[in-house]
Amino acid sequence: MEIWLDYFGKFHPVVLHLPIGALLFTFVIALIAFKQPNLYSNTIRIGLIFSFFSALLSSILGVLLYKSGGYEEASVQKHLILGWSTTLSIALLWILFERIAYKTLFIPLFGVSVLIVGLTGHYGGQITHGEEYLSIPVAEEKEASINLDSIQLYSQAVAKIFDKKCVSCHNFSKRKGELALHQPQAILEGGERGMPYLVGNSMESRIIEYAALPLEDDLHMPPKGRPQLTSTELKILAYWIDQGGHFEGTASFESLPQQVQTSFAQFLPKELPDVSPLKASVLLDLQQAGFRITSYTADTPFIQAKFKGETLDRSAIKVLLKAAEQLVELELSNFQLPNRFWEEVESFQNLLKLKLNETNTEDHHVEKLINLPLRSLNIGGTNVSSAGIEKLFRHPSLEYLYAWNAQIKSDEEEKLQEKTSIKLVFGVFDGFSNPQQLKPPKLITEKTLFDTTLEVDFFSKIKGNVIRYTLDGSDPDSTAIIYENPIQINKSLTLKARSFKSGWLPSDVLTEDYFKVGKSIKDYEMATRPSNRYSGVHKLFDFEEGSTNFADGKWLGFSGNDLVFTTKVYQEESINNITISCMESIGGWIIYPKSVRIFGRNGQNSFTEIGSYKYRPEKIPTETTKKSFTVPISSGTHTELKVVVENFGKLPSWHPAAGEDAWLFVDEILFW
Amino acid sequence: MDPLHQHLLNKNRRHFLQKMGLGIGGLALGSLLDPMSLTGGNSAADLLQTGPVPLPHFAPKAKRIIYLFQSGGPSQLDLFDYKPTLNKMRGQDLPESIRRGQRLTGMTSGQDNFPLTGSVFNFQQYGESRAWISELMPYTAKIADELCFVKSMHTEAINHDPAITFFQTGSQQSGRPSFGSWMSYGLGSLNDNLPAFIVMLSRGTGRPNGQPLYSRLWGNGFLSSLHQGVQFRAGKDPVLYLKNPDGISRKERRQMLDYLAAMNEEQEKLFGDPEVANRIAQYEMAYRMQTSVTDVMNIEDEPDHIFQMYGPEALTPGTFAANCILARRLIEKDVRFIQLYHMGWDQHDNLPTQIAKQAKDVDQASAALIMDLKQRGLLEDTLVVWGGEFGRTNYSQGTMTDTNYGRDHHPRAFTIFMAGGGIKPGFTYGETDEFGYNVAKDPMHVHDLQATILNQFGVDHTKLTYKYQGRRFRLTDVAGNVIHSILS
Repeated sequence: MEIWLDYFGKFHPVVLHLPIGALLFTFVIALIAFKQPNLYSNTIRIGLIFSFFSALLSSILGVLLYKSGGYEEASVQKHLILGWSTTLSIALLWILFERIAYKTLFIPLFGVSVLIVGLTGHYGGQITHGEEYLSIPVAEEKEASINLDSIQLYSQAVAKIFDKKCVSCHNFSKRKGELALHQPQAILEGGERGMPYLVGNSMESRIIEYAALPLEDDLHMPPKGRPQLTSTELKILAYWIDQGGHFEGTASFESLPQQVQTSFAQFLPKELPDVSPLKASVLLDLQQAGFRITSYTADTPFIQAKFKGETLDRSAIKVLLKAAEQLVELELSNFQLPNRFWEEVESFQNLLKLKLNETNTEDHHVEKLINLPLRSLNIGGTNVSSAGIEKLFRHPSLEYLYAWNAQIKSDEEEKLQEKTSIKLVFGVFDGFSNPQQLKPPKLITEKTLFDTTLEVDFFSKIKGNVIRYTLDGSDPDSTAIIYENPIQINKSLTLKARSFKSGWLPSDVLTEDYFKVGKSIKDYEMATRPSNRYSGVHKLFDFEEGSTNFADGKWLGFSGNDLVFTTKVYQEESINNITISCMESIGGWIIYPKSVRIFGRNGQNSFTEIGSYKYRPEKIPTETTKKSFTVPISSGTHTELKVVVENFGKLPSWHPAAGEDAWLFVDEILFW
Repeated sequence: MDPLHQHLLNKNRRHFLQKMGLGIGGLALGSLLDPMSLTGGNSAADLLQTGPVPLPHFAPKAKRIIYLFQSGGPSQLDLFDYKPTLNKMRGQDLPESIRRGQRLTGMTSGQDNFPLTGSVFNFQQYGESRAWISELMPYTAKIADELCFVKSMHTEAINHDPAITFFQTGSQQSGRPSFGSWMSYGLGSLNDNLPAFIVMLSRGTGRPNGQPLYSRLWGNGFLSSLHQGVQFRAGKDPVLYLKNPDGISRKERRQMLDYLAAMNEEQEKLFGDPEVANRIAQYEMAYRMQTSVTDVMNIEDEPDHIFQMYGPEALTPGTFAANCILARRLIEKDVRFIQLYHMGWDQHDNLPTQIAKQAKDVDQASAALIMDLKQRGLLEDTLVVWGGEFGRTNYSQGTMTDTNYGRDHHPRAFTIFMAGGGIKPGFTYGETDEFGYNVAKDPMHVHDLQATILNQFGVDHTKLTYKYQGRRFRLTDVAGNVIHSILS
């Protein structure tokens, strides 16, 4: 039920117009009929009845709307009372019209009713449109525009710095060190240590002195962890003190020293001006001309543009001019700028950021940028020299100037920076440009074991990078063979390789041993099973070594149990050694085997031990390593061999997971 | 509005307009309902609105972000948070008054005592900002004045996956959209030919078998699949399944995609599933990426001094350093959100050996990336974030020797750093106690970091929401405060 009442309430704004119209209409008729009462009496009656019932309905719906919530009682009260008064006054009019004192009271009372309707409407309107809606228009007050001939150092900059960095602790109520900086009078009272500054002598003034103390010092201000005074702010404070520390009085912007000018410029108001929204047709033109447009914020008309078309010509600039007012960021990097751009650049009167890196910008161009409200300018990779850069030093708002790879000599950079508080970025960063040592070459070929021949391949993608190698065990120098095609190997040998590249130190030597095995194992039978996650017994005999990553798919893993298998040996094969390749990784709970034992038998005889190896770790392992264990076997005729690789067992006491089952990881077993 | 309802409405309006003969009647009704629709298009703002809500809320300081995620939990006590007390009290048990019942991982919960261990590495202060940095990060030390260190990060999770998921999605449970997806959804792309959100991975040399990462960390959750992160890889195929198969020309591919799109549009008309439209858009993006990706991944045209700057590792594809160069190239192409993951920072044991290698992997390249962005004028509107999912304990896990120790996961206090994007350079925010265990001053929660980053993009984090299963979700869940003191 309540939902429906709320729903009907919503019709109040529709119904309320009926009694207003009807009553006004009836009032007009009543005025016309003033002299001849009987002429329109029926019309007036109908009008009054209609007005009354529609007013009654409107009032009821109004109450429902009010009850449905969302309205403040205070704002609705007058409207509510007046609404019901309207209904009652119409009822009264109707009674008067039908009964007695018609002539004397009817018209005046009618007038009052119309007035009440008007007032009701007025207060109703305030509820929906807000109280400001009908207030008399007043010319909007704007912040007084800055007159560069009479700037006020204290109120326009110094006070703002105090407010931002000091007043949170030094104010009327907090007053740390009994000092307050929130208003001139308080500043003049000083603090427990005396006056915060010494007129005319910034060097001896506490404000400047304390800011210069090391951060750790208890007296350092603002205290550690608080936003610190920037160099720009300090410059202004010092200048203000040196000039007498006055709270009143003006100076012309031009009379300030150049460094202070640029510092002061940052305190000038930067509010973006009123600009009309960009027309959709202009947007489409811009996009058509090759600009990518994004809005600056959702509720302002400002836009950013980046050229991404083919060539930046006169017509593209012409289209851009249609959005000259709205444009706050422009990027034309990597394009040849037509002259038209420089002819028109001053039209972009709201431009805050301009990127012209890698364009044909010259020294004489940059002067045109002085009158733009730019904060950031990029002229990297252009023809601009230090002369051009210096022209920009009198720019009133510029904060960042990027000139990497422009025509600036490296010895000029520091001198230029000394002359301005604009942050200059030239892009030479100490310590990043020393010659560095190359990394050793990297092999694509992972195999180091083979049975007939092997092709060895390097990654050789890097431009200018030369790989030199030897196959005789000597370290490659700048005369060694240059790697061009895959190296063919057909015997066991040691490959050594090194990277060379001009401007770099040669790499360390990469050493890789290649091993021709010759015997491949095919008939074997496993007696134990590896863990499901690291399984695939054939991998033990595929000549593919694993990396130090146990999860690379080339390793077999045994948790707690041993690796045991038997294999047939054929007459023509003579086997003297068996090599087991294993891994150890403390974080992976993987430890080298405790022992390797080889048994042999002839025919159906029982197995006898023909070779063994016991592993004795020298020290507690720290790194992940790989190791091969080679077991020579005593000669004799064997038709079958049995290999037992013994798991370490429980993890030892020095291990973080002492007492848990250790893992045994094996990637390759060779018979030779 | 739920998709089905939306679809039914589409249908009703379509049928209704058909009945009206799409004539004056329809026009009149349209203008009655929306007074702007007759004059509509007068403002370009609507056309520029890429996301579902009008964004940015306010003027952004940052337009692009590179998040250098150090997966595994780098030890703040060996890199940035200098605590000489730990060296003085070496071997003594962590006082309960400091630990205060902190939950432990399964890896140290069985340990009898918690011997405090200071860092074996030397610390020094660098730059005008006097930031403490250990000898493991010499290049980072050189650029200390560009960085804003937060020493008081804290999180709620104590294990890798929930902790990373928390950083990436604002929730420890998986399934929410990732940070980059939220950005793509809210702010849209700045580039037509590359995804708005790109991810690259590298393995650390300190612990090459460290924890794996799951692609859901850059997933779109309940947002449209258009916003999911796309992983770029080293090697022949930077993006999987992007190449045309042998024998298929680009023209044939175009035709195939056109027919496919026509069929998909049929389906969309029938079922109105918005994911069909997303799929069409993704195919188109993939087609454009066939050329744009090859372009951006071809780093051979980088001059030699850039490789020198990022270090010799940069010459090897797939390393963190090489990915840093790629990240910069993608930033130049205006990719919105680039996330690098470097794995292997999980030093439970052998910390000194392992962390030295990890630091070498990333130190020079991270610093070079920041300076490279700076010299190109890109750092002022690109935010770089460097940090892991949690810190490490001030006590040793497992056996401690003079030169060797390990550290377990520690959520209560750790260090990250940021640069550019309107973050205050040369600044340190927050402090830990003398044990480096608890935050002593100015804590920053994960949600605070997320709120602050969004703020730099002109986004009010409480207003970037998506209604799903009856609730308006946001990246910062129901928490998060913008930390204004680190903003410049």
